[in-house]
Amino acid sequence: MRPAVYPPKELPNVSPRPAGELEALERIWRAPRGIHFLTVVNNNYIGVFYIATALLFFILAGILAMIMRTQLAVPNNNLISPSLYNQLFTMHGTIMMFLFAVPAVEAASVYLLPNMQAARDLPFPRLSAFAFWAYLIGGTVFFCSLFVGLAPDGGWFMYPPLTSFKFSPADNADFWLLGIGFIEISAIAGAIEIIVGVLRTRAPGQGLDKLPVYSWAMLVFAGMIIFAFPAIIIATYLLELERAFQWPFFISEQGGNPLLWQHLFWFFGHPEVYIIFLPAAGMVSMILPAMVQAPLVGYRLVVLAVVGTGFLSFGLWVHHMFATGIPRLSLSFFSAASMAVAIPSGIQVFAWIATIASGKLRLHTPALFILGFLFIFTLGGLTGVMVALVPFDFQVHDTYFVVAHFHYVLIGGMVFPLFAAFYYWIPTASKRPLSERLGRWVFWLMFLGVNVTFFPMHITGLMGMPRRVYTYPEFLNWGSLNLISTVGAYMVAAGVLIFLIDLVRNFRFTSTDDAGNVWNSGTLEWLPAGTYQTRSMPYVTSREPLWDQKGLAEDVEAGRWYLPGAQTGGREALVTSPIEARPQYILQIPGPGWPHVLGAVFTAAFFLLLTVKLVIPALVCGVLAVVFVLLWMWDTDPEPKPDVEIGGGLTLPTYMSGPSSHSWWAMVVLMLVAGTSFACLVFSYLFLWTTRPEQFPPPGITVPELGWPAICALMYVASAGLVVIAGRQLRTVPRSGVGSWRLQLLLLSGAPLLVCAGLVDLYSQWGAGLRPAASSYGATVYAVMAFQIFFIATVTIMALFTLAKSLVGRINGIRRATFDNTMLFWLYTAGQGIVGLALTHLFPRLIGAGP
Amino acid sequence: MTSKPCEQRFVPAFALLLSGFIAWAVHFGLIYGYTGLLCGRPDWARMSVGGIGIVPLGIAVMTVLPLAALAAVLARNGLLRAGANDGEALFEAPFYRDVTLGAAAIGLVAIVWQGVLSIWLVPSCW
Repeated sequence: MRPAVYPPKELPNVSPRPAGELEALERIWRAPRGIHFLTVVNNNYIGVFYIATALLFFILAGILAMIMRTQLAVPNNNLISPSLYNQLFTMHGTIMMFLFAVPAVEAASVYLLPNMQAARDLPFPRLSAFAFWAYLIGGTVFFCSLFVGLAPDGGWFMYPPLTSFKFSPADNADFWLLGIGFIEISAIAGAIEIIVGVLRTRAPGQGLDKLPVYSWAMLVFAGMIIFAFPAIIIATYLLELERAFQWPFFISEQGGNPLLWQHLFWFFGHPEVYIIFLPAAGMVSMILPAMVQAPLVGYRLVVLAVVGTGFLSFGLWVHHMFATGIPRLSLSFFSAASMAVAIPSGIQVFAWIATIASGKLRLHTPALFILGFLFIFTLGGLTGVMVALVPFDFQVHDTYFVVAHFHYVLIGGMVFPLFAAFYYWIPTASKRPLSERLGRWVFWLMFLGVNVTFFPMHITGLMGMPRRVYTYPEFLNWGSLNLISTVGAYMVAAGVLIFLIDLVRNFRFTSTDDAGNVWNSGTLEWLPAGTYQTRSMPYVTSREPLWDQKGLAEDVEAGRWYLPGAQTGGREALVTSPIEARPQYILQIPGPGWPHVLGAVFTAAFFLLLTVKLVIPALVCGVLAVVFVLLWMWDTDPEPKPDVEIGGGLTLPTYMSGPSSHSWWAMVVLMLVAGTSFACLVFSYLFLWTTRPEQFPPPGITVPELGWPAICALMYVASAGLVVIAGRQLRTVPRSGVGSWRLQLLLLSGAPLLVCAGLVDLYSQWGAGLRPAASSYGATVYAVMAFQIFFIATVTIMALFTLAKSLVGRINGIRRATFDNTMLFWLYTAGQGIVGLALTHLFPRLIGAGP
Repeated sequence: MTSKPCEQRFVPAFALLLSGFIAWAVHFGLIYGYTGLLCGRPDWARMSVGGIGIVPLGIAVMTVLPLAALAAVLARNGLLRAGANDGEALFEAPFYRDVTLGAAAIGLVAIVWQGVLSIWLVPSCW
C-alpha cells in the first residue's frame, strides 16, 4: 500500500481504470424503472422534479394574479365576487411565498449543490425525496381548496382576530394553518439536508475560502430557515389551538393579544424575504463570472455581505408593524436595522457591477436577466429604504405603494435570477440548451411587463389606493393606472408562456448526456457527469478550478482523482471536514425505497384530513406515517464495512459515529429547530405577560405547590441520567451479538420517567384549577405542556425503536448512530422540560403570583 | 494522512468567524427585550440613576458590553495585531482573518448605530 499524501502532490489514481469499475458505478446509481421510479432518490432526479413542481405553482399563482389584474383593470368591475377576490389574493401570496419561492430555491440547491461540490449526492437523499413528496402532495391539495370555495381568505399573513374562530368559522383558515405548517416542516427537512450537505460533502480541498458563493448563500439560507421558520410553526400551532379549542392567545377580552401573531409571523416573515433573495444572489454570483469570463470581484466581501444579510434580517421584523403603536424607542431599533441591511445588499450590487467592469460581458440570456435583476431589485431596495423610515411608512402603509415595493424586491430579487439560472444551468440537465432567440423575447416581455405592471402602483399607492380591494369607484381616477398595470401583467404572462414553449421545444432531461460546458464556466458543476455525478472527486485548489487547474475535466472523467468507483459496493459519498474539506470517511448512502414516499403520503394525509376535521382517518394516517418513517429509518444506520482506499494511499473508514458523523450534525440542527420553536413559545408567554401582567395568573388561579415541579424535574434529571449511563454501557457491547440487556433495561426504565414527568405536570396544573380555554395564561401554560408532551411522545417512540434495533443486534459499541441520535434528542427533551417547568411554575412566583 | 495539523474544531472556529454578527444579535436581543419590558411598565421606566433614565442607561450598558466582549475575543485570538497573516493557524489565513474582521466592523457599526443613536435621537418610551 502506498503511503498517504494529503494534500496530493500528484494524481491519486492511475488510468486506465480496472474493467467494470465504471459499469458498476452506473449500475449502482441507476434510477429504478416502472412504478418503482417513484422511489428514486438521486438528487439529479429529485432536484428536477422539485424545480418543475415549484414552477408549476409559480404558474398557478400567476394565473390567480391575472384574474385579479383583470378584475382591477377598470373601475366598478364585477368579474369576480369580493369573497373570491379575498381567496385569490390570499392564495396568490401564500403560493408564491410558500409553494414557489422557498421550495424553488431549495429545489435548485438539491440539484446544484452536489454538482458544485463534486459530491455524489446530498447526505440524506431520502430526506430530500420525503420533503419533495410532502411538498407536492400537500401543495396540490392546498391549491385545490380553491375549487371548493375553502381556500384561505385572510391575506397571506392571516392576521387574527379576522382569522380566528369568531370571524372565520369555516375551514378556510385551517387549510392555511395546517397546510402551511406542514409545508414548513418540509422546508426545514430540506434545510437540514442543505446545512449538512454544504459543510460535510465537498470536494477535497474546497475549504470555506474556496466554497462557491452559492454554497455560502445556501448555508446562510438554511441557517435562516432553522431560526425563522419555527416562529411561523409556533404561530400556526397557537392559532389552530385557538380556532379548534378556543384557547385565547389572540383574544384581547381573555388576556390574549393579536399583536403576538404579528410578532411571530414577521419574525419569520421578514427573514423570509432574504431567505428568498440570498440564494438568488448566490446564483447571480455564480452566473456573472461565466458571463464576463472573469472571477467574481470581492469574493470575501460578498461572503461577508451574504452572512451579514442573514444576521441583520432578523432585526427587521417590526418594520412590518410600524403602525401598530409599539414604543418609539423600539421602532428606532428596527428602523436603524432596516437601513443597516442596505449596506450588505449594496456591497453585493457593487461587487457585481465591478465584476462586469472587470471582464467583457457576453449578453446571453442569463446576462440579460441579471441586468434586469440589478435594475429592478435596486429600485425595490430604494423604495425599501423609504418604507424603512417610520413617518413615510405611516403614509403608505397598506397601500399599493407597498405592493409595488415588495413586487420589485421579490420579482427583481428572486424571479429574474431564477430565470437567469434556468437559462444558465439547464445545459447541465438537458441534452440541449434553451433557445437564445426565445430567451430574449422572454426577457424583454418580462422586464418591460414587470415595470409596466408595478411602477404605476407606486403612484396609485401614493394616491391612496389601499391594497386588497376588489374594486374601486371611477371618481377616484385610479382607472387608467390600473389598466396600465393590467396590460403589464399580461406582458409578463406572455413572457412566461414563451419560456414554457422554449422548455417544451428544447428541454430534454438527461443525467448522462448533457449539453456540456456551453458557457465555458469555471466551477465544478460543469464537470462531465453521470447519475453518480462526477466519476472521481478532484482536489480543488481554487474557486474556479475548471479555469485554473488544467486538464481537470479529463482527469476527473478518467477516474484519476479520488473515489473513482463504488468502493463499498453500494451508493456512497465522501464526507469531508467542515472547514478545510479534508476527506474523513465514506458515507454509505441509502438508495431508492418506498417507505419515505409512503411516509410523505401519509404525513400529508394526516394534516389534510385534520384540516377538514376527519379526526379518526387523520389519526390512522398519522400512525401509518410514523410506521413508514420508522421503516425508512431501519436501514439508515448500516453495518460498518472494512476501510477502503480512495486513491493516493488515503484509506478511510466506512462508518462514523459521535460528533464527527453526519447524522450527529443533522440531529444537532434538528435540536436547534426544536430549541428555536420552544424559545418562540417562551416569547409568547412572556409577551402576553408584559401586555397583561394582571392576568398572569388571572384572579382566582393559584400556581401549583412547588413540590409538583420538583418531582417532575427530578424525573427529567433521572431519565437523562439513565440514558447517559446507557450510552456508556453501549461502549462495552461487542460488534456482534444481540445487544446488552443492561442497555435495554436502561432504555425501558428511562422513557417512562419522561412520560410520568409530563403527565404529573399536567395533573398538577389541572388540579390547581387552571383551564386552557379560560384565559390567555391558562392557554400558554397548556401550550407549553402540550409541546413538551409531543416531544416526550417522540422520544418514547425513538427509545422503543432503538430498543428494537438493539434486540436484533443492529446496535453495538461501533454501530451506535441510532442510539446517539436518540440520546441527543432525549437529553434535549429533558432539558426543555426543566426550562418549561421553570417558566410555568417559578416565573409566576418570581412576579409575585405564588401561593 | 500526512502534513497539515489537525483541523480546528468547527463550532469555535465558525463562531469566531461570525463573532461580529453574533455580538450584534446579542446586543439587539438585549436592548429590544429590555426596552419592551420596561416600556410596558411605566413605573419602572420612569426610574433614574444619577439623573439618567434607567432605559437609556441600560441600553448604554448593553451597548458597551457586547463591544467589549467582541474586542476581547478578537484580541485573544490575535486578530487585532497588525501584519500577522503569514502563519500556520487558520485565522492567520487572509480569508478567515478578513471575514472575521469585516464581520466585526459591520457588527461594530450596527451596534453603535442602533444603540447610541437610539438613545440620543429618540425619547425612551413615549
